[in-house]
This record gives sequence, C-alpha cells and structure tokens, in this order.
Amino acid sequence: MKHTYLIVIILLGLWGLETTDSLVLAASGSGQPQLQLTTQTQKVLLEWFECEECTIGQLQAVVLLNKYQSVPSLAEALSIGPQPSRIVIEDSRLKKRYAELVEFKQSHPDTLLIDKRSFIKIHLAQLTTQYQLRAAIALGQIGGPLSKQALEQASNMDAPELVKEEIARSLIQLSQH
Amino acid sequence: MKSSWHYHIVSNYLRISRAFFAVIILFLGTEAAADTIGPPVVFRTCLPKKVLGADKPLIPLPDPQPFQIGCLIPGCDLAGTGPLELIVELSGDLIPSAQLKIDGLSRDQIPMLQHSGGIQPVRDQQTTFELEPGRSRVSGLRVDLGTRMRTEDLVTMLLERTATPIIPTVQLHLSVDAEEAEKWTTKKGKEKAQKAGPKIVIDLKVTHGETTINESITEYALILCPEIPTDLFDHDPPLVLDGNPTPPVDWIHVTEQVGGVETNFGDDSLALINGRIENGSTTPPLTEWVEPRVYNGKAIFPMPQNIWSYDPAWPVTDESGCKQQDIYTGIDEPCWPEVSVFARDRKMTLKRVAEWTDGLGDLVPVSVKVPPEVVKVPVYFYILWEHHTAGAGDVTNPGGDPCTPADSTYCLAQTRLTDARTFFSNIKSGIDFEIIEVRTNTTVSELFDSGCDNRNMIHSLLNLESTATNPPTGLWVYFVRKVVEDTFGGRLIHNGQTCLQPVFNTNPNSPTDVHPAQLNEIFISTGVDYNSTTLAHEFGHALSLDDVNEDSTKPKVHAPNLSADNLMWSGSSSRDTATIAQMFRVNINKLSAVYRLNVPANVSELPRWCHDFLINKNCPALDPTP
Repeated sequence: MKHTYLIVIILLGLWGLETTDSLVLAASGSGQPQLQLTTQTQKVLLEWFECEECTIGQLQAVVLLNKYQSVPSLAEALSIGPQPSRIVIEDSRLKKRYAELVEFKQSHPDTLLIDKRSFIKIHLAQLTTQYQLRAAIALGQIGGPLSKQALEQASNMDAPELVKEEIARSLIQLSQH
Repeated sequence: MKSSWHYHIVSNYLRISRAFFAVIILFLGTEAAADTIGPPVVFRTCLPKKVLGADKPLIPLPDPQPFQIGCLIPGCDLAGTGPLELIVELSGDLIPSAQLKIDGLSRDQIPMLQHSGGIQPVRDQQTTFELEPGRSRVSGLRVDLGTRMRTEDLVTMLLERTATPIIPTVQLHLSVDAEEAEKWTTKKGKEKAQKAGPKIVIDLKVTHGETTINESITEYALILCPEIPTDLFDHDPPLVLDGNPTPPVDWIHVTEQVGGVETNFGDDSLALINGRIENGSTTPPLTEWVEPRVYNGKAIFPMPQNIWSYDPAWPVTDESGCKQQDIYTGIDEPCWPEVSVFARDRKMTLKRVAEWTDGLGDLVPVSVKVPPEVVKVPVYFYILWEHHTAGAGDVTNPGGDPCTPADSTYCLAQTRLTDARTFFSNIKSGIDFEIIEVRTNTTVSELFDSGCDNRNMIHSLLNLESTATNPPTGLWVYFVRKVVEDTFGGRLIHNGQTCLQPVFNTNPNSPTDVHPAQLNEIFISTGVDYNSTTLAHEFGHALSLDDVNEDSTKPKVHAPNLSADNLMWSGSSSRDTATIAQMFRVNINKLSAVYRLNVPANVSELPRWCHDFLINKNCPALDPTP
C-alpha cells in the first residue's frame, strides 16, 4: 500500500514536470523561441514592474510566462530600467503633481516640501530602481541559464546598493537550485 | 541532500502545484483582465444643457493623456525598427468630433505616413487628422525601437530642459456634436442620461506586425449637468429656508454660517442623498429607496424626483426595503433619509433629514461645517533608514522651505505627507493628517528592509505598545529602505504596505465570516517607491478602503466603473480622485482609523459597518454616477 502511494506520487510528479514544460512550449507555439511580446505578456510584466502592493500571484504570473519572451525583457529592465516613454510620462506627471503640492502649500503654510528639481530627480531615479529590483527578483524565481547570465552581467554594473544586494540574493537562490 | 529521490519527489510535487497554479492564473488572466497592456482611464464629465442647440455647435471634452508611440515594456523592442501602425477606434453612444495630432516625428518620416479608414488630414497639415467613427489606421510610422538613450541622460535632459526628447506622441482633441448631444435631452434620453449617460470609447493602439506594443483605452461617461437656477443662487437677501421655491421640486440648500447668519455656500460642494422616492404614478403611489445620487455644484441642488418623508413603518412587508442587518451583530438597523455634503477643507456634514414631506417643494437646509473644523488624524513618523547619501550624521536640522537636505528621509517623509494632505483636501474628504511625532532610529540594519512581519521587533526597538488595552493613538508610519515580504512563493518588495488583522464576525447567522481589517501601522519605502501618492493610498487603506483594481490574477469586484485615477487603484501613478462613496466610508465606516483611533471631531453620532463590498441603504455603492 505504501509503495502504491509512492508510485502514484512519482507519476504525479513526472506529470507535473511535463505539464510545466508543455505550458512554456504551448506559449511559444511551435516550440521555437518567440521574440515579440504578446499583449498579455506585456500586461503581466507591466503589472509586476509597476505593482505597489505586490502579490505572489503577480510574481508567479511572470514566472509562468514564456521564458524566451520574459527573460530578455527582464534583463533589459535590470540593466537600464523602464522604457524612455515611461520615464517621459512620469516626468510630466511629477511636474503636474508638484504644481498641485505648491498650490496646497500656499493655503497650508505648515507643510514641508522639497524643491521641484529634487522631487522629480529622486522619484525618476526610484522608478528605475523599482524596475531593476522587480526584474532581479523575477529572474531569480524563473531561473535557468538565461536568467543567470542576465543577473551575472548586471552584478558588475553601476547600480544602487539595494539593487546589487537583490541581484546577489537572486544569484545565491539560483546557485542553490 | 539535493540529489536524493526525496528531493526529486518534493521538487516534482512543487512543479505540479506550480503547473496547477499556472492553469488557474492563465484562466483567471483571460477571464478577468481586459486585453490591454495598461489600465483604462475613465473621464466623467457633464454636458451643459444651455449650450446644446444654441450658438455653440461643439462642446469640448477634456483631452486624454498624450499617448506614446513606443513600447511601455523593456525589451518589447527586440524586433528592431518599425514600421509601426497606429490604430484608432472611436465608438460609443455619442460619437464626438475628434482631431488627432502626431507630434515628435522627424521631417523625413512625415511623407511616409499613410492613412486608411475614417481618417483625413486637416488641410495641408500632414500630422493632424480628422477622425470619424469606427476604426482608422495611420501606417508607415518609423520609430527607431532598436536604440535607446541612457536613462541617466534622459533624466538629465528632462531636468535641465537642454532638449526635448524625441518620443513621438499622439494627442487627441474631442468635442461633442451639439445636435447629437441634444438627443439626450429628450425626455427618454434625459432619464437615461441622468442614470447612466452616453459613453464614448477611444481605443488607441500601436502595433508592430501582429504585436501590440502599446495601447490606451479612454472612456468618457457623460451626464447632463445639473441645472443650477441662478435666480435662486444669487438670491439677495439669502433664501428663506421655509420658502416655496419654483419650479415645485424638492431641493437641498447648502449654506454656511457667516457672522451668525446662514448664507449660500459659495464654493463647489458634493452632496450625496439617499431616501424614499415615488415610483410610478399609481394611487396610492408606490415608493422605493433611491439609488444613491451625487450632486456637484454650488449651494442649490434640485432633486430629480419627489423625495418622501421618513416612514418608520416602511416597508414592513418588503424584505428588499428599508430593513437591514448589522453584519457583525445581526441586529436590525433602521435606514434614514440622509444628506451628506463634502467641501474642500470642511469636515463632512451628515444630516438625517426630517424635512422631506410627501409633497413637492421641500427645501432642506444643510449647513456645512465652519473651517478649520476638519477631522485630523494623528500620525507618528518613525524613520528606520536614512536615505541621505552622505549619511545620517549630515541630517542635523532638516526642514525649512524648501525642506533640506532634499534626499533626507525626513524631507521625503514630509513631502509624502504634504502629498497625502493635498490628495485628501482636493477630493473634499474633510479629513486631514497631523504629525504628532517624528522619531529617528536608524541603528538596526535588519530593519532597513522590513515590513509588517517585523512589527514586533520595531515595537521593541522604539518602545511602542499596541495592545487591546493600550491601543495606538494615531497611525504609525515606518519609513524604511525597502518594504519587504518574504513568502513561500517568493520575495515581494512593495512600495507601501498597510498591516492587516482579521476581524471576526459576531453575527450568529454567519459566525464563520472573517473580514480583514486594517491596523494602524503603515510601511513606506523611501529607497524604491517612485510614486508620490503611495502614502495617500496607504492612508486610504487605514481609513478602511480596499483596492479597486484588478490585475491578471484577481478580478475587480467592488467597483467596475473605476479607473486608474482613483485613490485606491493600486500601482497607479495617475491617481488624483476618489468617489463620494469612498469619502463617505472613510468618515463613517466603523473600520476606518477615524473610529478605531477615536479621533476627535469625527462624525461619531452615525457610524456604521460600511465595508467596500457592502452596498445597502446606509452604505452607497462605491461608484455612484456623479
């Protein structure tokens, strides 16, 4: 009886292995790597890069994407952050927001506010850091040689300490698998 | 040992779980998520009736955000250079006149543009087009997706304004045709417009081959603007409250005390009503509980229907009527006709209305609170990581105007607070936040990266006590480098986090229900978070509000009509609004920090359980039509 359970578990395990791989292959159609990102892939990645109170579901959704699509995107985010168009959008939002804060301050003189240039510079720098951190975490979870290569390359780049720490953590995670 | 057969079994078993989880996520993803990359944007605006059919043939609508012709996602440009295609789809109940302008194209690109569908260039302007309903295309866009500027260079360029970065964008200008709009002023259209209103949907998409690389969906939800009778508003001397205004409908009259005299309230205010209204023309008339309605304007709000008097017996036999249960105690609560009024920097005014009669012509006065009377939520700031690159020792006397050093955690925390106060003032919530204490302890490196799981350690470090007998007297906000949550499924780094605890249902009819409630502790990252409104969003959680958006793994349940501009849309940097029902809840809900902390000057006489998911006669739906 004990052995029967064991066999069932092993069979289920092998099925699980196959299912996971077949999901990846199914996502890439014929099994050939696809370089263009589908809308759904972009949506899943954007939610992960931009999440504020992130969920395991959002991370797992990235992990389950076709690696040929997700890993290059994550590698680019890790090395240079968001797309220029995303930075330009945020720059224009921050300028508009700062004007609103100044207007509020005029009627509420007890408030404190940093100067406009610092306000924009710090937030845009943190937008880049946020993309880099999320990319490092996801690559560590996805694993595989492509992810490892991206993390190793990024570990030598000029980046904030907290990004480097996360890259190191993901590399340790990969080396333990 | 990793290579043992035990390891393989466990490993493969985890793979099963993962595959199973994948199927569920993929299923949920296709079911719940709209097929766009970014979140939708909804504009709610009203059509002024006086303009319709008069000398102005077109009524302009607010411009949508400029739309970038390029990728939103890193790496989506792997395919290299274009050509790209811009697809615009214009649809809805009311088709606007639309003009589309493409900026940022180089001169040699402009002659390459081709167009098809209902799109025509405006005279000799090759990059400005008139749009017709349906689908149109502009092709031949060549944007070099293969190269990109260094992020640091781009940020410097934006800060120094040495040059404008060339990122082609699309800007739309929309106007509603007055004749089309006038159809909605007919009796049938008017009724419909006051409830739901016509819609306009614009879908802008950029494709590269068969792949969409950016998409933005903007929806306009339109209603007729309320007619404000200027003769009543400008009445001098001020209206006599027991007068008999014409036309003979019921009215709400918002006033304020100036020099001991009630006068018309001159600023914009929002009024939320509920109560019993006439339904149909039977004799005797049937009545029903009105769907919560919002009125936005100055001083005088005419009601669309006859609001009836409060009848404690109504409707005794109707289970869908007035009677409802307190979800935790199971005790029946009465429901009353109420008016809530919100105005900038004024405490919310909630009035149980005794003045409604069964007849028309009732004028219900609501006197707004006199400033500076707002609900001030006490806030304690605890700095656990010093952001300043030169080290904590440099931050000896931060403050001033502007706050310096700008990159000190103290100044960043204060700026976040200013942002949150601005937000709650702009939405007319009647709630403000007041710093009681700022304390810094950056000696424990383990807490630089921490989150709700580390609360006990922080309490011990800072000698904070939080017990049932000694609850916090304010919101505790911890500023850390990264807000971290390590889970079985992976590591999460949040921008902000409000700690939750379960509240157990004491309702004997459903004793197993457990609802999450917010604690009074918030973590904010000052090392990662790019979003200046994160603290405002977390304050929203502490004041009992839930997130309103979906993601690929969870559906949006409470508020289907809300978009990324809402305070509680998690992960959005375009937040600048909240619904009146959300403002109602932060003031009234027993789960709100206003009640949990027993904040002075709260609306303490009429609190109720009013979770986001509860919609009943005492708790309006989250997104009533404005």
